[in-house]
Amino acid sequence: MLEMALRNVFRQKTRTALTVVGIMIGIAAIVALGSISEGLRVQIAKSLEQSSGLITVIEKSDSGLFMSLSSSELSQETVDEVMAVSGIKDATPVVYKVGYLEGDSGFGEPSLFEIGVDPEKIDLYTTEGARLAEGETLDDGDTEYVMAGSKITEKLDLKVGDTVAVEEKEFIVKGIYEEFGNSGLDSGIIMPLDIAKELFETDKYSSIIIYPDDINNVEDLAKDIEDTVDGVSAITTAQFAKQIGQIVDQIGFFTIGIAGISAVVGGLGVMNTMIMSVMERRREIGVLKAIGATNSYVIRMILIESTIISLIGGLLGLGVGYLGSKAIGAFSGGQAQGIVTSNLALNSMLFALFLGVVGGLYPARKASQLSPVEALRYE
Amino acid sequence: MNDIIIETKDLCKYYNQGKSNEVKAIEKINIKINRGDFAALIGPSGSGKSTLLHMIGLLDRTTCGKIFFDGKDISEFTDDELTKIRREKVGFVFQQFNLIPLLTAIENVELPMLLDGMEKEQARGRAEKLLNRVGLGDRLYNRPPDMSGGEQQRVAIARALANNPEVVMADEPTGNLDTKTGKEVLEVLKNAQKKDFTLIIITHDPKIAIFAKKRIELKDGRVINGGE
Ligand SMILES: Nc1ncnc2c1ncn2[C@@H]1O[C@H](COP(=O)(O)OP(=O)(O)OP(=O)(O)O)[C@@H](O)[C@H]1O
Ligand SMILES: [Mg+2]
Repeated sequence: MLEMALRNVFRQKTRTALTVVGIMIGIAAIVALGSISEGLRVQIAKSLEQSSGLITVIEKSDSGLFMSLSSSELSQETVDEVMAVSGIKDATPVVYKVGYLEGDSGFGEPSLFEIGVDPEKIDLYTTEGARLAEGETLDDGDTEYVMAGSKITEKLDLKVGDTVAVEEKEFIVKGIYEEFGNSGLDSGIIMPLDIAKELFETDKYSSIIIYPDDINNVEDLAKDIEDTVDGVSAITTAQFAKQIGQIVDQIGFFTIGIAGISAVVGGLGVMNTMIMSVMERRREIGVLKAIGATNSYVIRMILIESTIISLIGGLLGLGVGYLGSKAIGAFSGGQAQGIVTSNLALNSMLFALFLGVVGGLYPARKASQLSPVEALRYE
Repeated sequence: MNDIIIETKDLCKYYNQGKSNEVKAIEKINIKINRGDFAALIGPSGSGKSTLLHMIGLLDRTTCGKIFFDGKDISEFTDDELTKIRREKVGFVFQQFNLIPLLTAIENVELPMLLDGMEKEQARGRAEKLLNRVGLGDRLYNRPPDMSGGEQQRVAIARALANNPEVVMADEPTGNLDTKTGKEVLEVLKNAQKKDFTLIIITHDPKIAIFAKKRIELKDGRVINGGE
């Protein structure tokens, strides 16, 4: 039966090829977009791993985690109160501001962060400690010097000793960090806390980075801080991860949803092709039934044909999607790295299979309901 | 075993029943065909021969009356049960041959056996034997479109015989063939007939009808001769 189905499928080569392309495009889109959101997830997970165990304290607000992060303001008293909570090993308040580079589109991840932080406390950000690529670290008294993250260095083509303008004031780059794996720091111009406050004309802080005494008690400490100090949110890395994960999921859901629609259209193509094929073969199907094929045999035959079409489309789509994901990676200059996981591959194949079965169901039923006599009479 | 293989009681078939274009194709048909008979269905065009053959060949549902096949009333049978009887006990030969064009001669003949659950190898062996018997031993792997009408009809006969049926029903099997080829094909069909194997054939050709042991003549949907 499989062999016969294969022969039937390739009887109308052009039509089958077009139908296969329909499925292929949909599945390719799913694979390519799915791989990008998978890549995003991995990238974020990696950067969060660097700062695992940290608590970020910000001003409490209803406007969602990421909005509150950028608008958060903490007074000196609040900072003092938070730092007094027991169980804190080390902590530092931070001020930051999102800056814009010339030529920025204004969409996506900002490419410049202006960060004020106690020079000795920068190590708090990463589990492995900050590593210098070039130059020296800041000293407490430095007023004309800043440090630069790896990404911003690359973007602005900075060297130690170059000048860089922050909020219209010029600073000299004293040192350049190796990659933190944290997009904020990597795109950051980092300066002493007091200089930053002066520069931004504020006496408020954006957030406090806290390292707990016991890394296993991060969640408890975060809760303690929220309970003892009014008006703050204490967010652990795990919570960050969860929130970001949700956002990535939503993005993935949305993009794969759109790709899914195009695949469904491909599925309709399969249905259309199979309906035509059944109409053309009325007589043959009638003969099959006359010589003893049951209804379920006819149904199976048509379903096998439709799934052959959709699976070929699915496999080609997987290949094209894989290439597409590589191509997107290349065009984005490595910003969006697609990862085709085995799960993604498997699920997209299952989806193709599903489309084949669903697309074949109606024509298969139609075919099985043909009366042998009516089908034989058909010229 | 029942001596009467097919019997009908007041069988009728109306097409488009209840609509303005209703056709009473056959009415009040009472016939008996014995096991081993060679029966010819004759009558003018439109008299209902094909309709009757489709009814007693279990290809279509009746409008009224009863059909007894091998002694069993089949009116309550499900589609699948009817299919099973057709597969095991009835072989069909049609005027338009109706082979599956994608399949080779031997694959066409195997098909009813495979549908009946026979092993592939066994089916192949038997199909080869049958094709030899109808004189196509050297055409096993040809496809129908590459064969002459007479050859195609002989493949169809081999296919009809595949599951060793009790009845072979042929609807104008020579209608699309020239006289000479038609005669050859008919010979093949008759020679295939064993003692207890029933052949029912629709024909316009009086010469063929003369060979038949039993002649059932239809006119305007009714039997006018030879029902019993
Ligand atoms: N599916 C159908 N729908 C409507 N009318 C039909 C249908 N099949 C047959 N008929 C009508 O039923 C009558 C009997 O047709 P049938 O095909 O049985 O005749 P026949 O004796 O086989 O004729 P012929 O010798 O031309 O093949 C005809 O009037 C025909 O038009
Ligand atoms: Mg007829």
